[in-house]
Parts: sequence; C-alpha cells; structure tokens
Amino acid sequence: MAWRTLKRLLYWFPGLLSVCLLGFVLIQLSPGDPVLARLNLIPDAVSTHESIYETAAYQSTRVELGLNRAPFYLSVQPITVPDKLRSIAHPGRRKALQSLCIRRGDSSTVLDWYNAHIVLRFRLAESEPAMVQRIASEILLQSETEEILRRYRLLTEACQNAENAALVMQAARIAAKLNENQQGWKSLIPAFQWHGLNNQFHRWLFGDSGEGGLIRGDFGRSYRDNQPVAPIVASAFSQTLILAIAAWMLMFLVAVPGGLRLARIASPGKARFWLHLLLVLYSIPSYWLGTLMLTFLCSPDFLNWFPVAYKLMDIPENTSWLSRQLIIIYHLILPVTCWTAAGAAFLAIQTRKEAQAVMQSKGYLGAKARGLSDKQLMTNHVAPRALIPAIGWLGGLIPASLSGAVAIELIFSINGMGNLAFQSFHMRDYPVVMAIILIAALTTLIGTVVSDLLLHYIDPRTREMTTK
Amino acid sequence: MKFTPAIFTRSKTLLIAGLVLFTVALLAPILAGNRPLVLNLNGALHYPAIKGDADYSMRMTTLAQNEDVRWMVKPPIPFSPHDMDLHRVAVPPFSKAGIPGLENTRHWLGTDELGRDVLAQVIHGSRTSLVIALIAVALAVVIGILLGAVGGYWHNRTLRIHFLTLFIWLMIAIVLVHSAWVSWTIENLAAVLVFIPMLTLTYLLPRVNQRLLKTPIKNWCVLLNPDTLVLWVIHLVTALPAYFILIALIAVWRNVSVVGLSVILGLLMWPEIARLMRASVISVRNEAYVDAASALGVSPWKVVIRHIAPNAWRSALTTIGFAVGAAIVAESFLSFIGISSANTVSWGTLLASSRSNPEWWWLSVFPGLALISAVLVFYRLSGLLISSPEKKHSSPQ
Repeated sequence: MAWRTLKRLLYWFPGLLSVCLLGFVLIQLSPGDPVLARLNLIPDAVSTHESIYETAAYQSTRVELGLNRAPFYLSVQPITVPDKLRSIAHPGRRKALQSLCIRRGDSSTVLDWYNAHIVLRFRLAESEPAMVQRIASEILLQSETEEILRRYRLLTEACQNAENAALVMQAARIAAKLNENQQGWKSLIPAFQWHGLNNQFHRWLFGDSGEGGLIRGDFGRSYRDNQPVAPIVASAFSQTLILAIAAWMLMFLVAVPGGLRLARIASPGKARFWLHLLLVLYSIPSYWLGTLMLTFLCSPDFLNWFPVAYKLMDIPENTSWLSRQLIIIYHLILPVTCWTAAGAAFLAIQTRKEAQAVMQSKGYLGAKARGLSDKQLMTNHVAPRALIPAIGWLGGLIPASLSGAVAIELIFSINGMGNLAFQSFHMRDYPVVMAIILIAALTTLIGTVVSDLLLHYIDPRTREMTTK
Repeated sequence: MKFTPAIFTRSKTLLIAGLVLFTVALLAPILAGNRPLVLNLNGALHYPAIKGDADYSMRMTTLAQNEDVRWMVKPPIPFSPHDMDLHRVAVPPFSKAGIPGLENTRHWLGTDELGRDVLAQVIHGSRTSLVIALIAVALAVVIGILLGAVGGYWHNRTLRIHFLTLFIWLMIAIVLVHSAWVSWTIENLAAVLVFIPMLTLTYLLPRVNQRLLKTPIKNWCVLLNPDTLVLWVIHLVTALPAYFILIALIAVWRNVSVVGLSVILGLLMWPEIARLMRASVISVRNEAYVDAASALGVSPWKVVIRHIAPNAWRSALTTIGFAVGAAIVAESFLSFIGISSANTVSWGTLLASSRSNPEWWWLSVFPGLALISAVLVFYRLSGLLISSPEKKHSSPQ
C-alpha cells in the first residue's frame, strides 16, 4: 500500500511540473508588463509616458526579474529574429523591431539601422528641440519601412543643424536598404535554439547562482508590497482551511445521515418530494445564496442577525478561549452554510442512491432474514457502502474548496485563497499567482491520494484490483 | 435519436419549462424592447422591433410625440435592457414607469441603480446565458468525444509509429504553429499557404508509416500509448480548479467577448465528457462487431468513428445537462464578480449590483430565480438521461 501511494505520488510529479509549466506559459502569454507591475505602475496610465521605459529603474527591474533572459530552455523562433532583441528594454521598440525583422527577413540590416538610430538620437538630444526628439523616438515604434522613411523625411526638414540632418540622411539610407532586398519568406523557417540553463523557467525553479528558487522553498517576493510570497499565501491558506474544515464537517454530518434516512422513506410521493427539494437546493449557486443571506439576514432593512464581514481581527485581546471560539463560529455560520448547501444536497442524493442499491441487494436481504435490527442493518451493511461516493468525492472536494470558496470569500470578504487569487490575478502579481497555482495542483494531488487511501480501507473491491 | 422524445414525455414539467426558457431566449427582442412591434404611421405599416437598432425615430419615447402614429402594438415589456431612467432609480417592483409615453406601464420587477428595467434585463440575460452555455458545451462535447474515443480505443493497446514518422509529425506540427504565428504577427495571411503542402503531407503520412514499418529499419519504431496521453491531458486540465483558471484568464485578458468566454469555458469542461466517453468506448470495443470490422481490415480510425463512437457517445452525453447548468452558473458568476465585458446583459451583473446595495432585494431575488430555474431544467434533463428508460422500474427517480 505504501508502495502504491509512493508510486502514485511519483506518477504525479511530472504532472505537477507540467502544471507549473502551464502556469508559466499562461503568464508569458498574458498581456501587461510585469516590470510595470513590479514598479507598482498602472499600465494604462503609463502608456502615454514613453519615457518610463528609458529610466534606469525600469531597466534594472527588468534585469532583476530576469526578463532579459530566454523564457525556456528551448525556443522556436523565425530564423530572421535575432537573439539580441531580448536585451532591448522598451517593449514597444522590441515588438516593432521583431515585426520588422520578420517582414524584411534581414536581421543584420535591421540591427545596423537600430544602432545607427540610437547614435542619432543621442546627437539629437544634445542639440535639437524636443519636437525633433519626439519624432526620432517615434520612429523606433514603427514596423513599416514606408512609415519609417516618411518620418525620416519629416525629421530632415525639422532638423536645424545641417550636420544632424546629414546623420539623419545616413540612418535613412540604411532604412531604405530594408526596402530593397526583401526576404520575408525566410521568416517561415523555424530556428530551434537551446538557451542552456540561463533562462527564466530554470531561474524560477532552481534559483540564481545557488540562491532562491522553488526548489529551496522560495516563491519570490510579491510585486505589490515586496513581501515574501510564502507567508502571504500561508495566511490565506489557513483562512480557507478553517472555512473548508467547517464545511466538510457540516456536509458529512448532515448529508450522509440525511441520505440514509431518505433511502428508508417508503412512500414514493414523499421520496419524490424530498428528491426534488434536494435537486433545487443543488442547483442554487452558492454566491446567489450568499447574496440573499446578505440581503435578508445581515442588513438593517430586514433581519440584522449576522455580521456582514468576516473580520476575526476585531476580537478584543482579553476574551477567553471559549468566547473567542464562539465568536469565530458565529462568524462562520453564514459563509459555511451557503457554501455547503449545494454540495450537501448532491451528497445526500448520491448517498441515497447508493444506499438503495445496497437495500435491493441479496446480501441485505440475507442480513435482514438473519434477524438483524434496523439499526444494525444501517450501521453495518448500508452505511459503509453508502459512504463510497462521499469518499470518492472527498478527493475532489479539497481542491474544489479552494476555488469554490472564491465566491463566498468575495461576498463575505474573507481573506482566503480565493480572494488572494482574485486580487493577485487582477494586479498581475505573478509570483503570488504561481504559488497559488502550485498549491492548487498540490492539493488536488493530496486530495486524490487521500480519497484513494480511504477507499482502499472502506471498499474491499478496490483492494482486490490493486493486488492483481 | 429515439430516446430524446421519450425523455420529454416522461416529464411534462421539464418539457414546458425547457420550452419556456428557449422561447424567452429566442424571442427576447420581441418580448422586451423599446420599439413597437407593429406601427401604423399614416397608413403605412412598420415593424421597428425586428429591424436594426440605429433608427432613433422609431423608439417609443419619440413616437409618443409623433402625431402621425395611428396605432401601434407595444412589446409586452416596453423597455430595452439598456434604457436608463434616472428619475426611477432602483424603484421596487410594480412601480409606475417614468419614461415619457410609457407612464401607464409598470416596472414589474423594479429597476436597477441606473433605472433600467429588471424584467427586461432578466429576459435578455437568458439569451446571453444560453448562448454562452450552449457554445461552450458544444465545444466541450466535440473535444471530449474525440479524445475520449481515442483514449478508450487505445486503452491497453499501443500504437506503432515509426521513429521517422513521429519525427515528421512533430516537425509538421511545429511548422504549422510557427507559420500561423508568423502570419498572425505580421498580419499577412500569405504565410498560410504553407498549410497546403503540410496538410497534404499529413494525409499521406499514415501510408508512409505503413511502408516504413515493412522496411529493414522497422525496429526503429516508437510504441505510443494514446490513452496515457489523453489521461495525462485530462489530469493536467483538472489539476487546477476550474474557477482559478477562469478568473486568471479573464482577469488578464480583460473584455473577453461572448464567444471568447464560451471557448474558455468549453476548454475547461471537456475532461468530464472525455472521461465518460473513454469508459463507454472501453466497454463497447470488445463487442463482436468491432472485432469483425477490424478483422475485415478496416483501419483503426474508421473503426473508432464508424463502429465504436455511434454506440458509445450516448452514455457520454448524459452529463451534458449538468455541463450546460455548470456553464450557466460559471458565466453568471464571472459577471457577478465583475470580470466580463461591460455591455452584455447578464443575470450575474444584476446580482452584482444587489451585492453593493443589499436593501434592493429585487435585484438579487428575480435574476437568481431565473438562474436557478434555467439550471434546474438542465440538471433535471441530465437526471432523466442518466436513469434511462430501461431502468425505469428500479427506482422512483
């Protein structure tokens, strides 16, 4: 059994790694600039101020986050796109140059032109007015050669110094070369490149020069407040765990006995009524129930019975242990109820179905014929088998409790995993996002293994299967 | 397709509720809108509700001042879900309307914080929900059935592919993705021409593979197990809680369109269907007619598509009701937490505005009732599909 569990865990290890990779790819694909997120700047407001990309802070942060490295060990790129583009910090220029390389298929000329233009911009910055400089920096954002040449003509006219105008002409001549020999078809050839260990994924996983990295338990620092990620996620996880444990207990204490009781209802009309009621309960989304509860149970207009928000920080220091627990329970009642309702209904339906299957079996009839009491029949024969769907479901319940609680946590403003996930996705706080993704995948793994182990003890049929 | 009508005759309530839901969604612009259905303007008949949105002179508010109007037929709810009335902000149900020309009508379910009619929004919201849910589930069914069939057929079997063929397959995949990406970046679709020779090659490859397996270098073959691959992808998708992925994708790509949202939902929902399809293919593929087809030399793909899939997909489709229900819930949840495109009318948006103003109970109660009744219809459908007619007498449900 231990061997089987170990094998299971080992089997999941590559899965875990691929989940990390999936999260990493999603982050790579997502729009928005992590450097700006790190500098706590709102992307939309910044786009008007191009100068931010040229500050030393932007460039050093970019290097600090490792964004000047290749994203992964291996990359496939058009053969015309040079590796050097990655070191250009300005995202708009990088994109324009990449597009230019792909269209024209002549990366060396593109790079020559870029260098000539950078030199030109330094010259212009010394002796020309701001308007000219603006045109010169806008040229770098163009990806059409026609547009570039047009702007160069504007620039030549605007230049006040004849020497500068000559330099502009020189840069324009290199740009015109791009128009002459077009080799765009070359871009269709993919080039495979091996970047070695100096890449972003490796850095995230194994750290940099013997420091940090996931392998040393270091998730990095949050972009928002520069705090280490691990404690942030740990505190959120503990909040969710309290909620989840309360919900599981409620679910198993109510739904399983309820389902067993339902199975013993003889009259079909009554049974049908209960089943339909449970189906309605099951189809109520938890966040609607939460909104209704907020409206009718927490507001002064109707019944003001429960607290609106779940704030355990407000408990005074000098309260005794017992009253502290009572306050916690009081705060937990609403979120836990509306989170459990649908799940409990589903579980009750499943348990009833399973229990009825047992009660129609010959084993049950035999036990009844032996004169066992109703209570014995229920506890020894029906309950163990009726628990099987409940336990099979438990595996999915642990990770579901992380995400299913998103709505509840948002409504009752609990600072749990769901709330943290929502906020950090919204703020592009990628280190926290990766930590959350990893923890979600890990809990799925633990959930399936735990439910497997439990099923192994409860259901002998699975045991036979494993020895085969 | 024999069982489909049988399901509906078994539950009249389901049939009626389903019909009502689909009718409301289909006829939403006729049931609730700000233009009359039929209009007699100086003897000429007009049908403004059916025509486009642009003509402001055909709105009922403007027509009320028009003296040429002889008579008009208003829609049952003469408000569009976008019409704001800032004099009637958040009025409770049954209040009188304040829009000129409509003083005699009432807001049956009240209005929201911008004075928009709740009933009109509930009616138009059913459209959004159903469209998103149905597209998502259609996509999930296609992916799920295909991958489930592949996984089930090759369960405990291996696919012999020659090393060279595998290599060419990989290269073709890379070149296709690469050229699609290049043509996307430079906004020039000429690169798509690469697809023609590549797809021809893809078509020829199975024959090349058969030839290669007969050559002296046949020992260079790779034993692939498609079932393991399918299971691995299913594990990968289900390893992350779906709501996390949803929030992540939509918070990052803001303003996702209706189609985009349904594609994302569909990509998250297929594993359940694939799992069922795989299980049912595994049980079907040992039937004698499958062996007979294989023995006659029918290729594996044809066996799967022609002989196994038609007999296996029905049991896999019992969960589509649950899937549609789950998609409806997911869509309204996303608009509830405020991350969907701003212009679509959705039940979740109404619920969200009730969250910030709990004293306006009509904003949470009515859209929620619409939501659960829609979900209930599909759940009940699935419930009936699962307890199929053959097992009718085994249990009361």
